Amino acid sequence: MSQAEAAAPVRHGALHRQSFSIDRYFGTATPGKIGMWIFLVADAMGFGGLLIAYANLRRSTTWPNPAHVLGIQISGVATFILICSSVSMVLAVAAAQAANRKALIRYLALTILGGLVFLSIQATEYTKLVREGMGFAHFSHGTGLFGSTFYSITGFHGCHVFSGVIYLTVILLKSLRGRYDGDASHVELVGLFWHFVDLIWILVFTFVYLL
Amino acid sequence: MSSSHNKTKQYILIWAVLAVLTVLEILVATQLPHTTSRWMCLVLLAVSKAACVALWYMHLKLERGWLKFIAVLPATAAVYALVLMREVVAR
Repeated sequence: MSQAEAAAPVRHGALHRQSFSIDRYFGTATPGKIGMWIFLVADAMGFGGLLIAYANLRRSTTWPNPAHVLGIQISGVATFILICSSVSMVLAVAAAQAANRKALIRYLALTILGGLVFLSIQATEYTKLVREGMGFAHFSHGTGLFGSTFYSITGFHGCHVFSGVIYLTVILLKSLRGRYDGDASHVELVGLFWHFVDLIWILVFTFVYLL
Repeated sequence: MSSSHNKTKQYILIWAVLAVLTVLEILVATQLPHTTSRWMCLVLLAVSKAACVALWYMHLKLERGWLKFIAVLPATAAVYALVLMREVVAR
């Protein structure tokens, strides 16, 4: 390698494009992908802690019926929207792998739209619940813990959706400039994060709204 | 081209499965009485949906052993939750 080549800055994408030998334990997974999985596992443990606390608080006191207080319809629609955004995300990854910039941009935009609709639904739901007397620490029809746990868990998830929308927007803007033509690695990473957000919501929807 | 078409078909199929499972979940939650079987049904449906997302959308199905192992580590939290819940019930 010449001195000039050695001194040249390595673009992050270029690092991903290097041909890694097939690792005995991780196959062809890039360091970025392994890092993202480790981050997601740590994040999942955070959600796990919240859900464990929720389950135990719920068991230890008289708990209102969530279906009666929260209403399943609006959260059911939000769940469906998030599932739709997950399919548009996986199609965006497939488009990036096929070096189809137009499709990539279209599917990323649809995914962002799904995230924004989800957040709007959540904001509408919060407004309705606060008007009905369910605050963070006070609930007019039962234990205050019901509101505390509900807002903690769904709010923490909402923060993830919001972060995901920002992350996706950055990727979309870079895609518009052709940054990921022939390099799908970053789109795969944002895809992993977005699917994780969907996966967590599937569990939150069941444990907080349905059970 | 054909492989990419097949992948798209598979993703749409998984989306349909997730949508059907969600409808089933809502039906179980609204129609069945509050019993242990309702609880188990809902947990099973949620775990099936989560597995669909992880295996097909997050491509965990295609990853090597160690990445799969890392990915299922949070399941230990579920085991811990069950132990704690049993303790609360027995109290």
